[in-house]
Amino acid sequence: MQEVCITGIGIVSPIGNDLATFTESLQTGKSGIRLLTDQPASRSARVGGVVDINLNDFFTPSQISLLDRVSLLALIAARQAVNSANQQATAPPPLTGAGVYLGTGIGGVHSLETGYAEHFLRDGKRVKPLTVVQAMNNASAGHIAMEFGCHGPSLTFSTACSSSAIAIGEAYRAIKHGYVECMLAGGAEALLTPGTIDAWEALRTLAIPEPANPSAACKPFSLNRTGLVLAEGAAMIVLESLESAQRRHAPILAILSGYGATTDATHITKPDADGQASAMRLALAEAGLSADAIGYLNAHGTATLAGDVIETNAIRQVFAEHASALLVSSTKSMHGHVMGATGAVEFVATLCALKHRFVPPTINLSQPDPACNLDYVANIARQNVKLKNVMSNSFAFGGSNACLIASAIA
Amino acid sequence: MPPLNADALQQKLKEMIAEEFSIPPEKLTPDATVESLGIDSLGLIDFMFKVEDDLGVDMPDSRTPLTTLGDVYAEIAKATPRPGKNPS
Repeated sequence: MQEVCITGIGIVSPIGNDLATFTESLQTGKSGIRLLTDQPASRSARVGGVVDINLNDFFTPSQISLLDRVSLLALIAARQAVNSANQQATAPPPLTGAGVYLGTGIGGVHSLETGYAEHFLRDGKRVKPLTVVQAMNNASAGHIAMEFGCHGPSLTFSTACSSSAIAIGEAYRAIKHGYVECMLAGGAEALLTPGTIDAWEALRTLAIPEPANPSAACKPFSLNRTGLVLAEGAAMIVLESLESAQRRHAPILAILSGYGATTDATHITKPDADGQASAMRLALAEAGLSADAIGYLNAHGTATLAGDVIETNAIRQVFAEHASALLVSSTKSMHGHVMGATGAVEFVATLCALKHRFVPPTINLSQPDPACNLDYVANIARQNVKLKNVMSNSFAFGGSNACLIASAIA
Repeated sequence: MPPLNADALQQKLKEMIAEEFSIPPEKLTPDATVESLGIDSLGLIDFMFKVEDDLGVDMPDSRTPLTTLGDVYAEIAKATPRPGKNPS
């Protein structure tokens, strides 16, 4: 069995398009959620977590026209991750044999929606010819593999909101069990299209923003929460065996020590505390840790009425008496729900916490829900917190649960 | 816009290709291969789609290999005006 470490991180998110800015936003409790101004005029007010980035700074015009937004965001995050894995090392990470495991919920939906709109609403017989290759879920992983010459296994995981946590967990296992020594893993999502938002709205799960304060629309664990806020973004990490990292004298950011994946098998959308608790227990068992060794838990915390209570109950099941001392937060309150990429974005948030010894807050939490009775680090980050092990939860429609644990290097 | 004759069409396409793929127009001879010009196969398909829109035409649904620019010009020359549309 190989020990697996993280040597590179890349992030593109509504609260920062590089790791330093993302970390600062987590520390200061900044919201990246705002009113969406490019929606059809007849719609009610909508909010989202938007990535503010000029793609022309990163790509040629022809790349921008040939790739879906989701792949462009994924590539930017992957470039950052590889760059950071190269820093201060005597050799680059062994990318030639590396694999790419990426999670996405809905892939290139911008291309799919544009293509179908043209087909159904315009002349009724044409779809843009690149629709297939832009929209396919594995396009992002393919483009990353091409850019970095990664010839190892390339898999795309699509388990809704746990997609990228599963991608990272499975990449960890691929290294741990000796199939590869280096992986690029993470997730990407770019789904802020009118049709996708309509579909989510029809499920009655989206937050209803207050006109005076739309950036505070996502209120996890709060009594006045009204639902989730859709967001876009990408996060990628470089994982490699400890031997590989030490061979090239690369700075080790953290150890990926445990992963648990379970399925509720109860309901297609309703979460289940037992299934979630099982994922957390499996991750702890793999890491060889007792529950009280976890200092910070980045909750799935979507701000839906049912989800926050059920996750709280699951955490209480697993952590028992330690639950009251555990610091729990939902960074979705700041960056929104990045869907298939959210597990990777939030795992990066836990890595930031581990490295910089702070716990990001759950913002917009001024009216605690009595049914959500943990320490959610309300509104203000906790500084100078000694963390050795941190956990990140990701749960999904379809009942797919994933839990990741990162540990500080001993 | 009245239908373009073969020479005028070729000239128009040369201008469009030069702009789309940032290639000097003098390199866009009929015997130049698409590959030698660095035009990606997917990029070419996307370009043909734009030609349809810009010229207000429909291209035939053919599987003719497009190896040289001459092939591309010939394929586009087979296009017919799109019904009910005013070509730009």
